[in-house]
Amino acid sequence: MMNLLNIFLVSFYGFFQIPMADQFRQDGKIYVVVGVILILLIGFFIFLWRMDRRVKKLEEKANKEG
Amino acid sequence: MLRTDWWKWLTMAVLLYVFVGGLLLPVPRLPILNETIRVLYFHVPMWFGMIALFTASCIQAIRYLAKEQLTNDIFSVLLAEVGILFGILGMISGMFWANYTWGEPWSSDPKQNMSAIALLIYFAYFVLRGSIKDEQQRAKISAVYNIFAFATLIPLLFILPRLAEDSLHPGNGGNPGFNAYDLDSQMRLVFYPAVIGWALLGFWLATIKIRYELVSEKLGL
Repeated sequence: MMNLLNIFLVSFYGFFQIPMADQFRQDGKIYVVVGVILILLIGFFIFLWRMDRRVKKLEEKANKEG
Repeated sequence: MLRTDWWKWLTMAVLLYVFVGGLLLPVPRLPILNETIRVLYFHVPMWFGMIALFTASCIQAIRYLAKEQLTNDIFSVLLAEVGILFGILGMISGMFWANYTWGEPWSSDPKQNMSAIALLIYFAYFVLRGSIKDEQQRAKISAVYNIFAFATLIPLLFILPRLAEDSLHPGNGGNPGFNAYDLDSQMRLVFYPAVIGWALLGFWLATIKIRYELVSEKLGL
């Protein structure tokens, strides 16, 4: 029972009182963060993919020779 | 062997979704945590990824003991290597998060201590391997050690922290888990894909290392 009350209080109190980055999001600056992270992530994925292809080429070479 | 490509595309798609969704989708408003609750999508999957990789490593160790093929030993050690990487990153990211939410990077929380012990046990696996020159002997002894290390991992991470009197980690020591109210249905939408995506990334990294090792052996490099 205490637990349920606690959950209720946390969520009720929380919604109105807990500071979150609301203004930051309203200003649209969160999209700057998302954009930068996407650029980096895609960059690393391209790098990883190319590394994968290079190993594949080596494997094909090894299979031909073997 | 996992040589097909579709799951690599899946890894990239899922992780892109996790980063965008993890930053943009709504999260519960909780005191102290505030926006840092989003770290859950990145810190916790490190540990899930580590466990998945160590599980695969242990399976390969068992297969080595059954068949005595060095290929299985290569699989086992390189899966464990990436698992250790995930564990170290999980530890560092957790300490950084804890510094701002629990007030200090290391609170000697049961789960912190037990995961540190688990990592040390796996560090010893690499020390053990490094100390044996003979290939077959190294493979056999480290495969046995790997199975024991994995057997201690389960109580260290899942049982002992829950038996502890008190813990800062949710879901341990009488502390309500994220399941109770923190990890609501909105967070699950990102958290579950995050666990899958990060674990898949770990396997991708491991397969590149494994394939490189196998092919260089074949080419006599």
